[in-house]
Amino acid sequence: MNCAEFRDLIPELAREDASIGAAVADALAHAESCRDCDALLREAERLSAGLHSLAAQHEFDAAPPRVNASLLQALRQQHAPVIGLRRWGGGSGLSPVQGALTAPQPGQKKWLAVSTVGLAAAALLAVLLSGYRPGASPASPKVPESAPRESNRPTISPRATWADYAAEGETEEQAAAAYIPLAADFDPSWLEGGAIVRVVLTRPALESLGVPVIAGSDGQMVADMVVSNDGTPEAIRVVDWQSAGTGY
Amino acid sequence: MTLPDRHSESDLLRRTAAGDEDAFQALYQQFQGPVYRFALHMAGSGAVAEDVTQEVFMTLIEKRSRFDASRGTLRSYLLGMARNLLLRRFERDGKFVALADEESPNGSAASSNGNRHALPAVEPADPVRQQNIERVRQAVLSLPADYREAVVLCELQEFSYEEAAAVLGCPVGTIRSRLHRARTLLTEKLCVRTVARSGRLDGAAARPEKSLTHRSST
Repeated sequence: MNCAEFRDLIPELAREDASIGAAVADALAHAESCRDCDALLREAERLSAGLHSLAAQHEFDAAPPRVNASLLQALRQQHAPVIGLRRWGGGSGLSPVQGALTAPQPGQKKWLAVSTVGLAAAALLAVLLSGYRPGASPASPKVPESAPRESNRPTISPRATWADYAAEGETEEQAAAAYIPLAADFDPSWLEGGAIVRVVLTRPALESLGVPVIAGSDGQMVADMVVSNDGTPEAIRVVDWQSAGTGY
Repeated sequence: MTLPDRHSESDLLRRTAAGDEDAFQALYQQFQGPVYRFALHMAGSGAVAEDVTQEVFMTLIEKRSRFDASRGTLRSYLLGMARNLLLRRFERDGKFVALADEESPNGSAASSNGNRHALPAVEPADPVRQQNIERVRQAVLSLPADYREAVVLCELQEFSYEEAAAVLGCPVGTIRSRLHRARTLLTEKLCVRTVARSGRLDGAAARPEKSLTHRSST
């Protein structure tokens, strides 16, 4: 082994890397006969020892427990829409659609995920078409006569809580659970100022979501949507499903 | 400790994406340490390592993972994600660390990036040894990112060249050459600083301190 070959192997020799196999004996024999290469090897070994000490100091370092807690919360929130729909479906007067959503099957979960995203887009479109302006008192695009709650609510002051969005006889926690988060970074424990807007998702909107609507039916979904000051839909809850006539 | 096989890794990923907390916990407990320590050594910051770890596992929760078991281990995949997040962060923050010329008042080298979340100072049982470790840490942090990640993976986390190549998405030969170059740079940096500290310029001083020696002279 010559000096060039030896120096090419120095990192592996210093790391005691077994991958170089039989070359170790030849390399060490060369180091015994070459002072310069031997010095380089010792220098490399000192460096490896320093790196090893650094690694050992952090050998058991781990992410703090709050990271795990935060991720678990995110995991639960990621699947919160199913929980919200279950609660909503548990009310009186279940339609066939509501009944199906109450106990979602694996295939339906996929539909729910797709429809949640689609609902956000459709609801935002409905808000924009209704002439909603951030900061202004929102006007409902279409208020059904049978709507169980008042059609509009005043602009919510900054740092609103879920109590502001709760229906009659509903606790703050129940309200938070009933609303389906739409924004990825939505934090149900703290709400920006904004407004709640009642929207009606009509047949074309439903069709755009891929919901099979029976021909001739006039199905539409009435929903309350929490909209932040910048117009971003934050959360939504279904209020009523009127003559849905869907294939579900 | 035995690593889960790739089939079980894929199964845990699938179950995590479906909201199975037990599966997520199994994945998290298995891999958060390597991901966190990789980010810690790369960034020199516990806060950054925490953020990166969280972002990596959020990807699994949000079903954005594109893990393909036929292309490598889940550990390589997760560290590759961490690496990409770190590089984006370095680019965004303009954070290219250079070896500090000045020493901070407490004796540890101050990185030139003005890191607000530097690693907490460890109360040293052996101050000299601790000082040497700190010098090595700063030297590693001063390496260009390409070289630093090779050192962190192969030297500090004891990955094989093959697995490091899988993490970094490059050939094994590239890992090896980067590691060679990185070790040369580290040796130079540590020697230069030894000279600067001793005020000597002769050849004898231009060597790492003896306290780093792990093999006695024969």
